Amino acid sequence: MKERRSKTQILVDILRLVHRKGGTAKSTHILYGANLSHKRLKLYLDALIENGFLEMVSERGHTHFKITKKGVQFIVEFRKIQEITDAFGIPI
Amino acid sequence: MLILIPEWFFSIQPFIYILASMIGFLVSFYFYRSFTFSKQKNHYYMYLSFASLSMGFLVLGVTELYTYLSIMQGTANMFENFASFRDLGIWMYYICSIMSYSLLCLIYLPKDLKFALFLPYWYKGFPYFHVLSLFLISYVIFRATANWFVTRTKNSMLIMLSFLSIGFYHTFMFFTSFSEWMFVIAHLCLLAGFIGMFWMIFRVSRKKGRF
Repeated sequence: MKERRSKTQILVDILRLVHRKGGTAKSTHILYGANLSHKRLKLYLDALIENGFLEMVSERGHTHFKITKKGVQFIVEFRKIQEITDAFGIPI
Repeated sequence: MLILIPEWFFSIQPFIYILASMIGFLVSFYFYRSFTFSKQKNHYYMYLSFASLSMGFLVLGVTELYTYLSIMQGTANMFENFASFRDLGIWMYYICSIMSYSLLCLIYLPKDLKFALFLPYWYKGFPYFHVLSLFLISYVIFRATANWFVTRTKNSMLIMLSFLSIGFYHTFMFFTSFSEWMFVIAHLCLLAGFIGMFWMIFRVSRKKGRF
């Protein structure tokens, strides 16, 4: 059985997903990709926007989420920390 | 207990401690960063553990360097001026190290067995500091080895080897009354242990563009 993801891990998963989609993604893509309920996804997206990791962009009547420079830096930093903590056997 | 140290090694020994403390502080910095991300208690204890170990090595390094310079300049009377200062450094190191290893065991011990952490202190550690340290670090080595068996990554192997080297440091230190080379080998093991940790951090940090 897979272990439950931590809150930080979910936030990073969302950011990675948006980054993989070329930097912008629709909320439905994030919803399926991150495997979250609509209610929980909204909470996480709000947190990411509040911290400046994502920004909302409206294009042709559709809302997209765009990863910011700060968001990209966060993923890179998180990866480093994750590798170090995993090496010690204390995963994030 | 009589400790045999080669004379030429007096000038090298403080730098090994100071280098070990710098690397230890680097590891503690990364665990502090991970704590800010995760808010997990274990990451905070890891930060405290390495900060404590590094502080111990730093104090020991500075006091040993001061002692060496005092002897070289002839400003110290071997048994009066610096003896208490050097003792202070050694005791600080003992306390910080035991605190650090205890925290490491606290992190790695399963919830139901955390009480076991109080058992080693029945040995009344200080004359047997290295035995007590070896006892505590052995469990950390065991957990690091288990982690390596599970993950099979180079990073976890480096951490396992690092803890193993620190374990060897304490083992060889226990035999320093038999030969002065034991002291040198012990310190080389200590250095190898911390260089292993630094190498792991360097490997992780140099990877660019990975998400």
